[in-house]
Amino acid sequence: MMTKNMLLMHRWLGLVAGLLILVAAFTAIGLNHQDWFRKQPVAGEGPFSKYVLSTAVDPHEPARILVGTNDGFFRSLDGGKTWEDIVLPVPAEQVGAIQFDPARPGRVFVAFREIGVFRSDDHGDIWEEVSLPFYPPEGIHLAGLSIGAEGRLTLATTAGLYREGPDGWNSIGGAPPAPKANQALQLIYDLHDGRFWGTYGVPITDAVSGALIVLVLSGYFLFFGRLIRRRASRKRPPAPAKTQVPA
Amino acid sequence: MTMARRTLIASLLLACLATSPALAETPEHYEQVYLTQDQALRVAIPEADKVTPRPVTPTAAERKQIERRLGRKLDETTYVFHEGTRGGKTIGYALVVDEIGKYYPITFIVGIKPDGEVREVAVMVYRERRGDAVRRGRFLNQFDGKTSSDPLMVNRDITHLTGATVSSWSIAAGVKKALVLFDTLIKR
Repeated sequence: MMTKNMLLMHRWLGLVAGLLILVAAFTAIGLNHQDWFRKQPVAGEGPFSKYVLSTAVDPHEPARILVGTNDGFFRSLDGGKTWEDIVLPVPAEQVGAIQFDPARPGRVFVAFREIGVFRSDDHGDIWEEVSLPFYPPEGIHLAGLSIGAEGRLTLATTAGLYREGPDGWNSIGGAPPAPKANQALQLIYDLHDGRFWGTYGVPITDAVSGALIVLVLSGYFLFFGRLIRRRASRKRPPAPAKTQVPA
Repeated sequence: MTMARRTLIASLLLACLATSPALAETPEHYEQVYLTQDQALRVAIPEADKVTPRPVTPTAAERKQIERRLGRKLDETTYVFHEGTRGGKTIGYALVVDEIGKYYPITFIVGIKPDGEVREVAVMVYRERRGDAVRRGRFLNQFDGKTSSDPLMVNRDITHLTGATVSSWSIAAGVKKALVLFDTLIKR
């Protein structure tokens, strides 16, 4: 009886788990190939069809507004009536903070969460990367920035605050995670998202996801096929009993 | 499971871990030359029977114009375009570009048709341990036919390679630079 119940439980849990595996496998393939779903940007569309993350108005020219989104960095020169894309040498994504320098007309800073900080001295036409004491694509992400005395920056990051001083950057209010713990966590992330395998990550996770999908679907086919056959055989009328003809 | 089979599985797992790019990553210099300049020029302008270097120095106004189009400052003062001719007729140009990757520059060549379209991009020297997959056709073929008016931005018209994200940004930015330089200094 106990074995029968366990088999029953195993079967139904397997069916539910199979559904979850299907969802996980299909979404894993989708994540590997996000470009299949990415909407192509339309020229002049502006920032408000996206997820706006930051904005700044030039204190010296109030009609000049910069807006940063999850997927683009935009400028308006007419108080927000029309918008243009700002050209940068890196993908303008996850624009976490924008700050005009109130003491220096034309100077503006922008922080991209996972890329770094860029500075322009001509209202945003030409940008230069600001040298930081850490490398944002490797895990310490930028959350905000502020301009202090003498145009020095203070950065809010996922590893605490960094303040620019006369002798360089100082970490305050927190320190980067200890390298060992950070490496272990990074290894977990890398194994989970497939980056562990470098450029082979996408074909490996695609192949594993494909194999899981085939396994689950073939399992369902076997299970439901057996169920249907069993039900059909129950409905079939019993074969007539053979009668002995007396000699 | 036999002992031999267990040993084989354990060895395979260890080999996978040891050869994983995630563990192999270090910022140390690791130069890998895939193409010399002569080989690269043959890839970028294959039909040319003669290749002539054409150094060009942008004027201050041209420099400003290029920087505005690129959204960044130019590092070099002079650019050496290589003009490929066949029977005296120009059939293409090539520019060798150095673009900073994660830590070190990636050197690559951009072959450009006389009308300003990308003909070929090929990585010549890669200097980091991880990310050299950007030299594969699967990534570089995306640039074929692009012009300076295309965005040439990762996640816009270029798809980056997983595990080589920063190198993908660098190549895209370098190709854009080559095309804008060509447009401003050669095609005019």
